[in-house]
Amino acid sequence: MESKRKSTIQIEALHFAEPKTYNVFSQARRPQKPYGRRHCKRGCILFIVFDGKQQLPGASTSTEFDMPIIVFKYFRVKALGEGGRMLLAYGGQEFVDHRVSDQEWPTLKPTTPFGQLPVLEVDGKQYAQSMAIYRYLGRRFGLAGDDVEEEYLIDQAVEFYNELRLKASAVYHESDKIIKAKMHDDLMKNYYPFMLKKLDDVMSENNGYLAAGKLTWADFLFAGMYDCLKMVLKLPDLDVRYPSFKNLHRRVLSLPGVDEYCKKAPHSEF
Amino acid sequence: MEKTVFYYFNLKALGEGVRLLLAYGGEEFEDHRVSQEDWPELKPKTPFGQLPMLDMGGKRYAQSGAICRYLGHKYGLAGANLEEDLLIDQSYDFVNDIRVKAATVWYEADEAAKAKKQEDFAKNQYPFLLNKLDELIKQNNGHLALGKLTWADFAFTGMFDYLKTMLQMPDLEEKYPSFRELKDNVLSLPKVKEFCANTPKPVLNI
Repeated sequence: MESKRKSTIQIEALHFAEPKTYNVFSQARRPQKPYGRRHCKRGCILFIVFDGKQQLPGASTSTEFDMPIIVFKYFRVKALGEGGRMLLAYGGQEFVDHRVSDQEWPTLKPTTPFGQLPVLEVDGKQYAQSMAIYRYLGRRFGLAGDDVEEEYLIDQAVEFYNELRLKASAVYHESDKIIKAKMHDDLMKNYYPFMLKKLDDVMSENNGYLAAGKLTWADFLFAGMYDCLKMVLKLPDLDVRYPSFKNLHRRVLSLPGVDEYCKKAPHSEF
Repeated sequence: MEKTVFYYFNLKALGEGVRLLLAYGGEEFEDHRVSQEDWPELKPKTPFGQLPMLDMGGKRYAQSGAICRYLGHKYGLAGANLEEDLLIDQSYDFVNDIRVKAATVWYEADEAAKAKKQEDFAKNQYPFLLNKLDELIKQNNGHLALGKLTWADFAFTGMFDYLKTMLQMPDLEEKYPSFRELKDNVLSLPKVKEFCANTPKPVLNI
């Protein structure tokens, strides 16, 4: 990836145009070391939200970026996208937070690698699949464990978590009401208690985190999806049943960078 | 030195990919096929109450995708940098997406609902996804990523018959010759070929 490329982009909706100094991270090696600091008087933005509704009058401006352009594309919800946004925010990586509306999606879909979101665009090159993207960002920002064994432990925890999430989502997306109710009852009785307890045990064994006893990209996936998980499980009292889940959620959201991002990001219920 | 033992049912499904990788890596291992009778006793001893499970170097590994990626790194079947690894992960996840989708149909208990879902998916979802997969393999010289052999190819090959069954498309390879080409690229590797020639016949061809 070219590191000193200059590019100019037109920004349509400028939400946060405060002068600030930010770190530009080297893309070439791990662990991440800043290779420069930049200060811009104008148009120095932590992230930009493309949201068709919110166009500030006279907001069209052009800004020079002395670094690769990162765009994160996802729908206007948290679900599988929020973890990626929070990872980028934590890593101090400037990015375009492209929130795709229902109207825009049909035109955008054929331009994506697999007709799906999220998509991470790095200097015009598109990458798909949420877990692949999260792992990549995790490795970029020192959140992927110290060695291949710890990377495996993260993958293991994520795969386990995703099983639970996917099973619950399948019920959520079931259109037949009778079948849906039956599926939910079955899972409530025979599956969720075991899986949720296991997840709780995993966190107890890992200092409240999902893997390797410390903060990893798996925790960002969990936190980003937390409200969605409660919804698909139909367990709004999940916080009470498993305080460890809420604690991890809170812990990730209050991380430096993530905290700032959450305060400014558009609100979404799930 | 601790023995390497791979535990899975006598099926291919989600376990075969790991077996093929172990064979490719020249790893001496016990291919422990768990019977339905033995499973209840083993289940509580597994990390997540599931199979597959791999005991290696004194450690216990679970979750098929995580294990495949781990072995991929071990046997030189991963990328040379983070971007290359991302491309492999991306392809593998996409195949997995298709599998998960087909599984929601396959494991539907209500027969009428299952038939309805199958009709819907076969018309509205599978063609797009399988065409995309076909395109991907063609762009990568008969592989899933980087234009060459990676661990994702092994995962795909291992789960192929499972996927074919759940898609309810017995003519999958005829429709998409690139899928057969990819499988052959893995199954023709000498150590893999030898392993497959000597394995027990699975209970079901999934």
